[in-house]
Amino acid sequence: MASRGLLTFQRCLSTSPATTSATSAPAVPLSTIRSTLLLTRTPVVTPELTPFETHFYNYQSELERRLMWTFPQYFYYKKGSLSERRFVKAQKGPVSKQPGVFFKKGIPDIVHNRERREKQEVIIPKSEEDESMSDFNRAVVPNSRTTKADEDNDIKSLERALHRSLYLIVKENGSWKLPSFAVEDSSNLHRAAESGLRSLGGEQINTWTVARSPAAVLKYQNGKLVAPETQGEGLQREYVIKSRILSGLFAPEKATEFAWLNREEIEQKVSPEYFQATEFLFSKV
Amino acid sequence: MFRSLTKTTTNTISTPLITTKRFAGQYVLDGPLPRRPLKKITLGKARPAIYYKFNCKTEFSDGAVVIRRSQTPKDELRLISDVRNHPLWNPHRSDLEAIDVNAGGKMEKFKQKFAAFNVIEEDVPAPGAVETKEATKKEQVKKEENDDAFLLDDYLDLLGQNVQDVQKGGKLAVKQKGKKK
Amino acid sequence: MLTQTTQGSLKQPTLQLLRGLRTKSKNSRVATVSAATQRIITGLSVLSGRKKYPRILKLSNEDLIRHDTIQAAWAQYQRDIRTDRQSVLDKQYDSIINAMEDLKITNMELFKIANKKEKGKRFPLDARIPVDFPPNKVWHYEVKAPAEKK
Repeated sequence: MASRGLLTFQRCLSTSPATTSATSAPAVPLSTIRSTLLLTRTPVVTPELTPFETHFYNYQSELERRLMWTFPQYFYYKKGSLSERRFVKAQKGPVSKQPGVFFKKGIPDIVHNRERREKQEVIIPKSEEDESMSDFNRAVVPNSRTTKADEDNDIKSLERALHRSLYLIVKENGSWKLPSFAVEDSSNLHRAAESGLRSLGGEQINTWTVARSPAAVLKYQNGKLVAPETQGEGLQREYVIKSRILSGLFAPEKATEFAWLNREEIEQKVSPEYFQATEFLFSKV
Repeated sequence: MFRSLTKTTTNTISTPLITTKRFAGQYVLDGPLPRRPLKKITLGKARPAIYYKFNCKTEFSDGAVVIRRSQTPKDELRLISDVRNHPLWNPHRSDLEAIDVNAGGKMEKFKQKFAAFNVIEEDVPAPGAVETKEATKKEQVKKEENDDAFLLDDYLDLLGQNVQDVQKGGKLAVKQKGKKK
Repeated sequence: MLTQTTQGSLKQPTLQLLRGLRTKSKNSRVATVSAATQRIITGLSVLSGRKKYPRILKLSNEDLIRHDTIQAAWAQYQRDIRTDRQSVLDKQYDSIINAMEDLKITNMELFKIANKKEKGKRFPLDARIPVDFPPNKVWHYEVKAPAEKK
C-alpha cells in the first residue's frame, strides 16, 4: 500500500509541471472527444449466496443457537397475564428428569424450563388467519426474488436480475457498446453525457451522476480500440462518466436497440476488445 | 499482565506484594485492586453474552422484506410509514399514498380542541407524510381564513362579555352575624 | 388454605376454606420488595447469564479439526474475495488517474471542470439499499420534478 501511495505521489510531482506545457500545447478538437455514460441499475435485492456461503452461515447460526442463553420469558410476558398464558401454551416443554427412569438421550438437565444440552426453540404464539384480519395484522408474505421479466428474459426491462448490477448498453453501427455522446461547445463531460441520455431516451428518467471526473478513457485509432495510454495524432477519445438510474426508464423514440445487462451478459454481447478495455467497470455483484 | 501477577503471588513468599486468602474458589485481596479478575478464563470456558434472538421478518411500507435479528419475541414486524413512502425521501415520486402519522396523536388532539382559534401560522412546509392533495386543500383553506382574519377579533370581544371586576382589597364581604336566639 | 378439622373421631374429616391466612412466615428469607425494585431486579437478571447459560459445548478432537477446517476455508474464501476486490479497485483507480491525465493534455477546460471539488455532495435521497425480498412495485417509472426548495 505504501509503494502505491508513493507512486501516486511521484505521479503528482511529475505531472505538475506538465500543466503549464498542456496549456501552451494545441488542444485536441472537441469533435474527437465523446462522453460515454456508464449507467448502472444497482441491485434491488441482496446477492444470491453460493452453496459454500449458505452452508457456512447455517453452521454458524446453528452454533450460535446452541450457545444462546435461555430466553428470558419473565421479562417479556408479565406473570399471570393472558399473553403469558398464550406463550406458555405454544411452547413444547422439555422432557423433565424422573427418578428411576432410563433416558435414551441422556439425563435431562433443565433450568428455567430449558434443556441446557441443546438449543432452545421458542415458538411465538400465532392467532389463526381469518378474513376479519385487518390489512395491518395479516401475516408477512415476502415477494418472489425472481420477477416476470426474469421468466420472459426481457433484457429491456429494469425489473430483471434484481440481485445483480445492470448496465445500459446500446447497439451503435452494428455493435453493442456503452452509449456515447458528442461534447458540444466545451460544456462539460458529465452534463454532455446526461443530456445526451435524455435526448436519446426521453426525459422520464431520474439519474445521479457519481462523479464529474471520468472513470476511464477509451481511445480509438481508425475505428479500432487502442491502449488507453496511447498518445498521438488522429485519436478518437471516449471519456466514461459513471451514473446511476434511480427511477424512470430509458425509452428511445428512434429504433435504437438497447439492453440492461449484467457483467456476464455484457461479455457475451460486446466485442472481446471492448470488454477487455472496460471489464473493471462492471461489478461482479 | 495476568501472568506477571500470578507469578508475583506464587514466587514472592518472603516479601508478598499482595497477600491473598482463598475462600471457596474466590480470591480476597488485601491491597490495591487488580485490573482484571484473578480467576483465569481457560480455553473454552468463556461465557460470552449471547442473548436469545429471533429472526424477525420486517416488512417495509412498500412490501419489501428484510430479515433481521432481534431480542423481542416477534417474528414478524410491519412498518406503516418509513423511508420508502415518505415524501421527503422520495422527491421524484408523485404516487405517494402516505398516511398521516400524527392522526390520533397529541398534536392532532390539540388542533381539534383549539380549531376555533384560527391562529395564523407562518408558512411552515406541511409535515412530511401529508398527501399532496391534502396539502393544497389546506393551503386553500388557509387563504380563505386569511381573508376574514378579523374573525379573531370577534372572539376576543366574546371574552369580555358579562365580566365583573374582581374586588381586590378594600372592604370585603364579612360573615353576617346570626341573630341571637 | 385447606385444613382438616376433626370434630369427634366418628365424623368424616371436612375440608374448610380459610381466608387471609398467612402463607409465608414473617422471618421468611424471601423478602418482599416493592414493585419498582422488582422491576429493576427483573431487568438486571435479563443481562446476567446466571441460570441462563446452556451447557458448555464439548467438541471431540475430530469435531475440533472439522471446525478449524471450516474456519480456515472460510478465511481463505474471504481473503480471495478481498484480494479480488482490491485488484479491481486498483484498476479503477489507475484508470481514473490515466483518464484525468489524458484529459489534462487534450482539453484543459474540461479537465478543470472535471477536477473541481463538489462540495456538499450527498447520496441521492431516493437511493435504496438492497433488501432480502423485493417490494410490491419493483420499479417506479414515473418521474416527477422535485419541489423547489424555498
